Amino acid sequence: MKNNIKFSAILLIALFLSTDIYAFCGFYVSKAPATLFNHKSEVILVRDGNRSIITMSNDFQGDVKDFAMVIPVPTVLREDQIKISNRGVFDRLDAYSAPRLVEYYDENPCQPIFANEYAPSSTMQMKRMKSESDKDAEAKEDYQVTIEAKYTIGEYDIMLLSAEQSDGLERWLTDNDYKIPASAREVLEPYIKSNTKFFVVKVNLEKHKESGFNYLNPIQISFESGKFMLPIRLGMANAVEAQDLIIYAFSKSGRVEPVNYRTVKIPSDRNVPLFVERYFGEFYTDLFNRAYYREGMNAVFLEYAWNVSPMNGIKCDPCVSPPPVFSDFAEAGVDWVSGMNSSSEVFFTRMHVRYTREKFPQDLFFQVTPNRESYQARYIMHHPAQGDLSCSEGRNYRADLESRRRVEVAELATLAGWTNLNYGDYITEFSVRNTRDKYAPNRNELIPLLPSPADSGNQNIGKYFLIIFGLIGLLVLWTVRRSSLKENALT
Amino acid sequence: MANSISKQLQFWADPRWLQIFLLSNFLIYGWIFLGWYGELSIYLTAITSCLSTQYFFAYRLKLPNGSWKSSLISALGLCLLLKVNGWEWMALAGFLTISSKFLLRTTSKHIFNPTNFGIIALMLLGQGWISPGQWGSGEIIASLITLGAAIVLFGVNRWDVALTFLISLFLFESIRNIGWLGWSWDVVFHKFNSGTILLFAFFMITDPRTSPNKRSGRILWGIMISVLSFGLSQFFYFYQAPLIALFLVSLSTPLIDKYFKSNPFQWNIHSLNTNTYEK
Repeated sequence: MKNNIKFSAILLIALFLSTDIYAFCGFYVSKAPATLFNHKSEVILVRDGNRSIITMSNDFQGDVKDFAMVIPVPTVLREDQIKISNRGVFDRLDAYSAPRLVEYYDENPCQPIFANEYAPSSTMQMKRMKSESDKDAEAKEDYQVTIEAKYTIGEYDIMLLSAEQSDGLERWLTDNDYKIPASAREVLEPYIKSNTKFFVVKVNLEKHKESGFNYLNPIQISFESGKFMLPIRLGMANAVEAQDLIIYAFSKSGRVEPVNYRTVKIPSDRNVPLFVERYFGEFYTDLFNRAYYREGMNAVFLEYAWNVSPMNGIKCDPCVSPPPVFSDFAEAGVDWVSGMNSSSEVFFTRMHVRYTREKFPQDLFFQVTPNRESYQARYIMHHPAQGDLSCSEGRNYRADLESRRRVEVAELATLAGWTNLNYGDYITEFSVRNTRDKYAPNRNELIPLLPSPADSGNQNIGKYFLIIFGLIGLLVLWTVRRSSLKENALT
Repeated sequence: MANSISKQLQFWADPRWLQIFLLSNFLIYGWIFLGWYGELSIYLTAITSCLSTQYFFAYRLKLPNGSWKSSLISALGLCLLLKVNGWEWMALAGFLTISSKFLLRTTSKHIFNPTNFGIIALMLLGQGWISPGQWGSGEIIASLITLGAAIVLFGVNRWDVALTFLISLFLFESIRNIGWLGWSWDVVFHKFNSGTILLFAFFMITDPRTSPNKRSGRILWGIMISVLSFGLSQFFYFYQAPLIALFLVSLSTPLIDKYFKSNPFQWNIHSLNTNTYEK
């Protein structure tokens, strides 16, 4: 049976649509009584030697006057190390590297259907305001907090603080109308002791009004430091449940990987039933949930890895949206690419981590590896052949199709945990396009809260394997050795 | 008849089988439960490359062919720790690993632990890396139980250096992270929750052909490695710190052996038993 390679790619926009609240590595210190939670955030991480460029997306949903963010940084940043970035770059990187659903047609070639929903970038000019960097001007003795620098950049008022003691910093923030979560203090202290500076951001309402945007732009910071990390611990300060973080990482040599957490490739290249097309967002969300519990809730998932250098031809198979172009690299902070014809190498890694305080006690530390292996999360649908299938080959084909669909349905149950009595019909029927409604997933809405015992079993089986197999082997070796030593003593 | 049985038993009583068994156990575990599927060809390359290099040198130097088990241990070490971009780099790593045993040596000992040398060489070439985060969270307790049982059952030789290293590194990390920085304990435990550190401590620095001959010398040596690797990871953010530390501290082994005199080590069936060669 010959497959005609036609594909359509369906984007995974709004994967976690239900989360309308914004999050990042920093914690939110709300000035309003409303408690803010961190749920999902995105960050672009660029590493070149000892230089890090971090861009934090900002999809804060509340009233902008309540927005405030504190991010630990290793040095006092100069004004030229802080930039306001373009929000569109996150959409483009997300669209390009998102898990993809691919479709193939049996025999009859059809026109490819491109469901390219990638949003055009909003063009915007970055406004840089004059800054007043009056060092130590507002430092107050009793807080032991020093304002190292103060800038207004774009719509943000930014301050860089250094502190002697965590309670001083805590009081300073409280007295300056920042609302601090109670658990923040335990994490502030280790940061202060490691000589960390605090990057404090608020919205300058006047500038924000002037800009005319009804949303906040991403902030980009760059600095030199041997530490290549994301300070997720501080962000957990007001997190009551698991937070999702998507990391778009760029390096010159190869994949970026966490050094203190395990990287797991999200399952890929699996054949799934046709009706998944309609529920692809839900499908991937449930697949991710299951993988999250199966891997012990403490892994970082790899969703995409590819050499995206301007000179490198194929960057995905298939591409769901145009690959990043020069302007995207520039916006993301990949500044070693000088133009579209640049011979410079760029390697793109997309990671997805869901973290909680309990399972992620340490900040995320990374390393750049020489690993250039490509990877993408891809799921495949096969459309059956159309037309008269009554000949003998046609009968064989239908039998093949049935067994193929049986596997697809089983795969769906393994990957996403979906079961539905009507799936039996799917296995035996052909023209499914018109009757897909009855295959609506029977989703277990409790999945995010309660891991099913079957999912978390893998880790435990592994432990028992190590212990039981290890001990049996040791006993055998020991018995052999003892008898040998006895023999030896006799002779 | 009795004689041949005894010979067979002697063959199987070689303490290196214990290491081969434990390392294979870890590798099979990783393969089944941690999803290291794609790397079978790399593992086979490592083993083939190490064993053939061993045979080549044994043939050229007209040595008895007894050390193949050591080479297999080195190969398993490479499989568990080193990541490479393609099998050809693993072939090179295996070749360098075993060559270092024959080319970089004093009269009775190797200067570098072979696996350590192979890994550092590939990292310097920019083609190899280690993934300290490749282990899950479940296996640490499990492997400690297995390793503990191994020590108790076999009275494993040179566990002293492994324990010295682990205890002193744990002390440094606790003092720095709990006492000074004020992190909570789970941060320190999480740092130790890595199969890489355990493998390093129990299978790499315990290597009798590179560690100092005398126990007091070994304890000093173990502390030196832990100090250096603590410093490198805390202040210079090297995540391969223990490997680099072992590489550097290995250079001091001849000096330590000079001041802490004892007979050098030879593999034999009693070699698990420290007293037979160390008075």
